[in-house]
Amino acid sequence: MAAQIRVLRRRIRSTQSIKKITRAMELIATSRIAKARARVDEAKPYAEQMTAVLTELANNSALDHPLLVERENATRAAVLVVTSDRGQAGGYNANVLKEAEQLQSLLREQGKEPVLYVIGRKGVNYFRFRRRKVEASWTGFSEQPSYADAAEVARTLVASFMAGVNDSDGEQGAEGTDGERDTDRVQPVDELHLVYTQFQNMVTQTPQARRMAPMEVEYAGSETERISEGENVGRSAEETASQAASEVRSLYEFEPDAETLFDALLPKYVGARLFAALLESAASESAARQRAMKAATDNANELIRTLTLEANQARQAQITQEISEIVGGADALVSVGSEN
Amino acid sequence: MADMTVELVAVERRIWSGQASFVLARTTVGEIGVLPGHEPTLAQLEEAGVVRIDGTDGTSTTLAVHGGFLSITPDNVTVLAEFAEKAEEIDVSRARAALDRADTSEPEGAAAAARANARLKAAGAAE
Repeated sequence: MAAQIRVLRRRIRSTQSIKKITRAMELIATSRIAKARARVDEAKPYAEQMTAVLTELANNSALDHPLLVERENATRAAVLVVTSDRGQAGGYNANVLKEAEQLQSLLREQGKEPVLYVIGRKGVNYFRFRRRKVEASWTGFSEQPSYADAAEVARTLVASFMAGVNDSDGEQGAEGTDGERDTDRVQPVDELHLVYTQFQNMVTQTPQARRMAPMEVEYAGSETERISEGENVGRSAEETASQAASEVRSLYEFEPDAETLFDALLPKYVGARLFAALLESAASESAARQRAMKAATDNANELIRTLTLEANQARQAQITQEISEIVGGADALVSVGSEN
Repeated sequence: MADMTVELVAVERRIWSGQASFVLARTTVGEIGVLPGHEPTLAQLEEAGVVRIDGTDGTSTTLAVHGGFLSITPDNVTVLAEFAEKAEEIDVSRARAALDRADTSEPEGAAAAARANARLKAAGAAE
């Protein structure tokens, strides 16, 4: 009986200290979300301006840049998975990895061989445990990514993507060229895919699979409208409103020429998009962790409550038993005395 | 006509935005000074360079800009940069140390030296 109370008390104590940890992690995650979201917002102007500039360029020329052109016989597709370095984030990593698996099986159905690139220790461990080949991995910055990290990843990806340019030009099979390139240490790929977690709000973060290259620079309706709107203000004075947007674009001067600019801009565009994805993933990670830790803290509270109740009952039962033992003992003594 | 909207955005944040009367930058082909009403232009800036923005309120801001692009329309100038630092935020001693440390014999070291140089120049401490 006394042993039971001791066990219960020990469990209460350990639950309390676990609660302290989860509570601290919850608070840290909460403060990080705000910071991460602010960074997402701060990175937006660059991405917007970058898209605007690229749209101008793309409308002028250079539409045959390898990063924009669909490759006819794509055989290898790079999949970059953004996971977290630490666990304790609920379903965050599981969801991303599930999405990545789905994307990979989709690619295989299309006859493309997925090539894995992984960010974050959790993803690296996941694939290593399953003995899957990971082409390259980066860890250590999942919670607070800097642009330098994104740029490095982008450089690797763009390099392997550009290495794939030539082998899809000719009709030769991918095997032959792959063999050659293996010695080069740059694995050529024909497509770049990105799996990351989109931050929608504090309670919803959805894993997303996106194709980064060949890219569709977003010069769709809404985007062009927004850009030409900005220009309209400027040219309304000198030009008639009926002038088509394309004519306005041709007014642009390029320094140096458009092709060179495009070559320089596109990798940076990839970098910027990747950076945005990393920031969103970081925000999502913190949000997922905050939720998971809140649930853990709540569970700990509940557990402490039940255990305390049990411990009290056990204590009461022990007292009752002790009393009845004393009473029983006293009765026995009395009855022994009366017989004498 | 005397001013234009200038924005200098780095990847991680917007560094400068407001009305300005003059922007000076160095592209890969040469120095460019932009006044309001400039012809629409897209230009690639020097890998490591200095940008000067003269605001309409009489202030002049000098910045070190790395990996930048310049987009000009008659009323807007946008500088896109991978990294940018305002002159007053630059740590001169660190930039100088980076310059001394950089090994100019290899391309990476030369780039680092160029960056350090640009930072010193922006801070007005270049020799």
